[in-house]
Amino acid sequence: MSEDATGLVLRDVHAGYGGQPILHGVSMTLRKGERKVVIGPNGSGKSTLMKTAVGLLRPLSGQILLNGQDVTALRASERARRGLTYVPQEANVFRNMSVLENLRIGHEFIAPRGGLAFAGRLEEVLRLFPEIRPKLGTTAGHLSGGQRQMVAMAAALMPDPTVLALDEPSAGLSPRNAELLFEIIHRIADSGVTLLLIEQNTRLGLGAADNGVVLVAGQVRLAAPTADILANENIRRLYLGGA
Amino acid sequence: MLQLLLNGAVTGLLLSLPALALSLSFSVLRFANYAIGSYLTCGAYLVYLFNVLFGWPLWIAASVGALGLATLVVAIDYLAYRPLRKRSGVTLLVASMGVAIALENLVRLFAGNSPRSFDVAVARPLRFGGLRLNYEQLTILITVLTALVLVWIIFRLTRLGRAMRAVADNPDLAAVRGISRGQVVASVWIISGVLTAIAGVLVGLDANIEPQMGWNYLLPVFTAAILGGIASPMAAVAGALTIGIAEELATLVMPPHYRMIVAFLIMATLLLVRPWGLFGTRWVTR
Repeated sequence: MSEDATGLVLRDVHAGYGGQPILHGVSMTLRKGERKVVIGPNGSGKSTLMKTAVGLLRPLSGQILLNGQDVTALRASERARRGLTYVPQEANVFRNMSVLENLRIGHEFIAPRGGLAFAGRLEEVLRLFPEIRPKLGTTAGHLSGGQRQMVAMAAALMPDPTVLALDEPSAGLSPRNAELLFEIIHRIADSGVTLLLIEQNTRLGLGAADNGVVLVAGQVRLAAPTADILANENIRRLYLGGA
Repeated sequence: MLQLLLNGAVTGLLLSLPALALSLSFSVLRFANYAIGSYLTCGAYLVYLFNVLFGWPLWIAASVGALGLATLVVAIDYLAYRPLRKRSGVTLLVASMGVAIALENLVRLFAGNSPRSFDVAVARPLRFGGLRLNYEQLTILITVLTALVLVWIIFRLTRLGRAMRAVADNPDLAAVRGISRGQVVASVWIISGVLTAIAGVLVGLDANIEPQMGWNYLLPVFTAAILGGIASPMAAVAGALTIGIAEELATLVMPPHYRMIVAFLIMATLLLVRPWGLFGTRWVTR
């Protein structure tokens, strides 16, 4: 397979904080339209991997390609303009702004000029998230955890990205709300966007993806279709806590 | 009494521009810019240069001076604050004290210590019934209200305003939403510079231009900004009006030259009772 046709590629990425590496040579390829989930125990480097992929953390070495172009040196805002949008785990909405303003900001600084105008995009995104339509005028900080996650994802989808990165969407949600949110993630994935997902809830995470990557101590231990991962007794016992 | 309220409102409006500039830069950069007083002084002297030495009409001199100060403020950010941006707010506060001292002494070096005034005609005050309003006050009223409306429009209705509010709210999220922090920071300094220069002109019209002029406003400006809740810019205006009116009304019970005590008292009470400001609770932080 040629890498030109891919969404997001990480090549031998070493990254960490203050010169101390947390990721030790991570490589992975996310094809266009693929849904990939990264799972692993606490402290395995999942969030570091996500931050490095979206550009909030500069890798110590290695290369990151987006749609075939080297974006290693680009900041998060520049990667966003090239089609990679991101929903952080926490603090993922502008709390003092209305839901509508959140969606507008999601669109106006990233969307290519001449692309689908704001109103058209808003309708498409609200079709995916009918739950937030009645909340457009509400201040985002006053929403419940699940609603905030929806607003955050909706804002990230506004510019019609090629790759959407979600950092532990179920974090802090009740099991019921987490299930509901993953139904929406299925809806998003079915709309054709390439999805990179990090998830601590392995059952939900693996259920939402085609392929899984198991990250342990900053290294990829296994990359396989999610069905294989779920079927493998050893992996489940070793890495997934028997899930 | 009405006269006192009017005077207080004008004093408050005068304070509101630098208070707004202060809380605007605080909300985006998370540090209290102590040099705001010196910026005000520099603005007044720049305008004085164009107005008196070059002989330009005051409004042209003020426009050019405001742009000049905005440029200077952006340059100061580049030289002094940007290298320290990753440090704590206290480090930046100390740096801004250094900037303040340097600027004030630069002004003294070039302009000397004696008070000066703009080249404007002296006019008889207007009278409405029993109320007296002099031309300086009228200028302050119109200029400040116009500036406030413009800033409100920028803040609430424009792309730049949304970007500024987004960075103030959550800088990391703003970055992943495609907002360039550097551009927002520069815009904030430009707006702060323009507002502070205008305030410098108005203070110079109201009193004199002298190297200490900004210093004298530092305490009431900080009090006004904190009173409003330092991270919510438009509330700083309400804070400024409160201080202005409180200072004027205090002259009913104490000699006018003790007005400064009022700002001190309000500041001290506020820090003890409501350190997040009168309107601060509306800022959702969770």
